[in-house]
Amino acid sequence: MGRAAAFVAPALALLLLAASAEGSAVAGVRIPSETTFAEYVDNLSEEYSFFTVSNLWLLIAAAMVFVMHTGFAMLESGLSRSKNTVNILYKNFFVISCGLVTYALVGYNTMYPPDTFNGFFRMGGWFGIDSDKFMEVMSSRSGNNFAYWTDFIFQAMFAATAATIVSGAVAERIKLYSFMVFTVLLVGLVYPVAGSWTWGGGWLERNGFVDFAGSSVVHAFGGYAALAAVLVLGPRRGKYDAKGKPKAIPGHNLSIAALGVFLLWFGWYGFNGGSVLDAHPERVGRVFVTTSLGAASGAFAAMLVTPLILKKADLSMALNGVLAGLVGITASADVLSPGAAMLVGAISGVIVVGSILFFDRIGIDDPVGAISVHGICGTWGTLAAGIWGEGRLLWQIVGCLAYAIVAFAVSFLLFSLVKLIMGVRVSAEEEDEGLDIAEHGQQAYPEFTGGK
Amino acid sequence: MRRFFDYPHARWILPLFVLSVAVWFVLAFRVVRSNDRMERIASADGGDPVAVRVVPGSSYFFTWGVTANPRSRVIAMRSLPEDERYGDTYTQAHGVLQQLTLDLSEVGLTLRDVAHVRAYVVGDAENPPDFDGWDRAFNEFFGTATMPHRPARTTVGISRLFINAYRIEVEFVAVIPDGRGPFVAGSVPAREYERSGRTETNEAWRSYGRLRWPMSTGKAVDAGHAILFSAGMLATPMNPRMPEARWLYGRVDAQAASILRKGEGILQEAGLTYADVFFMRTIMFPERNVGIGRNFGIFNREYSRFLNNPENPNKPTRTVMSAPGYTYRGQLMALEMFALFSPSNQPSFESGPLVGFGTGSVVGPAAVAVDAFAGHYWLSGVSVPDATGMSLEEEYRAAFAELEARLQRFGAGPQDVATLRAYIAADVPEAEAVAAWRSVANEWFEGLAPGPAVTLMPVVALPGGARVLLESFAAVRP
Repeated sequence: MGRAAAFVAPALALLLLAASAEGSAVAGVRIPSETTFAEYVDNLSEEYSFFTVSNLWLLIAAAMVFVMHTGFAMLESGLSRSKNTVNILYKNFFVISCGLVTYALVGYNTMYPPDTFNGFFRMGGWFGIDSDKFMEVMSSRSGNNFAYWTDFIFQAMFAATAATIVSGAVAERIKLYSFMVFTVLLVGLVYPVAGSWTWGGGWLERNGFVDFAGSSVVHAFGGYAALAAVLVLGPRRGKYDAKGKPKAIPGHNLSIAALGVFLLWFGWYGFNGGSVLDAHPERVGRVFVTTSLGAASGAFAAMLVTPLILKKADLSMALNGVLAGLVGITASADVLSPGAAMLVGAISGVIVVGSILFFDRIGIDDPVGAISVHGICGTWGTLAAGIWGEGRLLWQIVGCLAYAIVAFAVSFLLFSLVKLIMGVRVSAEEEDEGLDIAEHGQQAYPEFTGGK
Repeated sequence: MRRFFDYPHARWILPLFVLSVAVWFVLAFRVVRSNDRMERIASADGGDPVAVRVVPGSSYFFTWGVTANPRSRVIAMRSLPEDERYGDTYTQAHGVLQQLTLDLSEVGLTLRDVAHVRAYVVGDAENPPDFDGWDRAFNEFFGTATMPHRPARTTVGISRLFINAYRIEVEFVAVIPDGRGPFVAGSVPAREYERSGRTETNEAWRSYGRLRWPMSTGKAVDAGHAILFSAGMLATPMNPRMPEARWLYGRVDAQAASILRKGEGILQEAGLTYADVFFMRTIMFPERNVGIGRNFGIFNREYSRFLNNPENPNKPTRTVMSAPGYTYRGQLMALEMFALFSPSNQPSFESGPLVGFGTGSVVGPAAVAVDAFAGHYWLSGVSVPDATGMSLEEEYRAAFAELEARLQRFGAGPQDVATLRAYIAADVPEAEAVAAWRSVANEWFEGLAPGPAVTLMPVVALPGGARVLLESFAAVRP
């Protein structure tokens, strides 16, 4: 009896303690008695169901943007040689992890300054909640149709996307640890600052620059950062002959590359559809339609143009046509008519083919075509938002130039610094042997290649 | 030593980069200028312009009085005391200007299209209004390297806003440039507006804001329609034959009804109804032991007898605030409204761009109709730069002289002033200040036909310690 009491009493005390702690936590989250009119309306029950549905849609969209990282990894690995597969997969896992962590540490509050913002730069800190008065940011009382957590995770997935674009362009020759350092700086510091100019209420937004889901903010930013990195890094060995003529280095697994693009296309519905920031039936529906038509027309245009130039129906060009259409439509997917969406996508598809061939010829070796797909088509998409969308063309030009210049200049500086301090390129032997063995001591397909 | 760059065309990188920076610079700072339907008449000190001239026949966008949203994210991230929910004036001004940027973008406009900014900063004797905080925030949005535009601006100190913690309320008057905005068929704002499925009582405007609200948060007003500006309307004594006394004006419900009926009469005289009113500014005077929220609720009840009801679904854009007012006379509120004429029923502007109606509560007409095809001038608030040693009347007189000097900068005079809002802050009792102001104003108004629609608004304080600030809007035939 005594021994039973010795167990029961502390258990009861613990239970009571837990109950009281819970009670006080609940009591601590008081809804302030002063409510604005807007808050009152938001508390009506229909608003609450809309909030719930919208929040859920944004979470699904965030998960779909996460799937895009699978797509990027598959595309990049499929379009490069088998001896670098492990390295590419490793980099992609690093990028998404690093993107999420840096975004929590500094990125989110830098990109979305919580109260005041001079329009150019405001360093933010840890994103977390350290107060019991958080119901306001977790409910429709915030004036948003998503909870704080949801917004964070959705935007964090975007941040990681900008870095993963660079990964593809520098594949097969970059030193793993140099890439990691560069990625941390780019996605942790540069991307949130540049993003705050348009999405955090900065100087571009105040001037009426529009970029719906990030043709410039995410894609062109990543594309021009990749361009700077590739210029500092130089082409892969064997890409150019002694006279500087480009030679094709075919990817090792086009099935995987095609799967990657299918996954990217799928994830893009979350990328654009979630950027509506609620579950407004007409808007989300419209964004799905414009996104689909943009991608399809991009592929269509690339499939029409490629045989005319290359004499053969090149699959990797078709894949890049899809991505180009998607990147192009991203800036104005919320306002374009279906016809305009097809036009934007088709023009992207044509631009990307020319651009890939052009960069190839002038000695910029981009294994997956990231600079053309994300940089050039991102810029085109932003301009298109000024032609057929709600932006004004002159300010769209100012905005995309600002992103191109900043992404290029800052990446150039950072990457050069990394080059001076720790070097960015593996040795010629390591490159010939493959980064899998040199950097990781592992092979992706040991049985198929006979250990070599 | 190996070359840093292993790239055959490396010599092109720098020139190309410099070229794109140059293009960006030229576009961002030179070519992309402000709205071509506006022209600034710069002031000598490079601060707020004397006035912004709006080209005849322009479309306008009027916003409501925007107040801060709670700083939810800051509150959630770290524990803040309840009274820091909205932050100080500087922080709130940021939130307000950010919200106004979004409101403008819905109509396809930006901060570059703003002609006039009016800010009401809250304060009292112990905590004077933080005009510096407002200036600091304003200067981060306007007059910056990337936003060189500076609109005309008026800043006054008031006693309170809808919620005690609100420190600032801001209204914009924006001008819609050619080829943009909701009146351009097929444009994005036009399509978005059509999708909103609103019914309007007047085809010449577009309303914004939540459908369920009793008011709209913005009105885009099409070009070519004359606008009626009312003077500040006060309640009529319940028995005009009685000598003036505090109880003569009744409680707030009686006063609201009296003012709204008076407004109906003025509109009728101009050939309009409440279906044509697109903007309303309600100034509640503080009543002892009664919150502004309660009195405003009572006003809203009376308001719904005239507007936002099945007979007249019109929802004007509104601003509400509390200022010291004429409480010494037992008056509890004042109301101003703007209404729109249709081109067919507008008054004849043969003798000039201004036509007056009725007699106002203070001095001048009860309302003034302004020709849409005159040049419109939105003037910054005018006060006396240095009034040390001046008596109240001398300062008022000096302010009117300064206003005339500013009007002369663009070849106008007192006869061209359509609306005049006089904010008086006094270290003497309100009754005395009002009496002094009246005597000066009566001299100034002598011989003006029709004269401006006047609102006299006692305020808590004015920037620079001035005791009077004159805000005006003038119309001049081109």
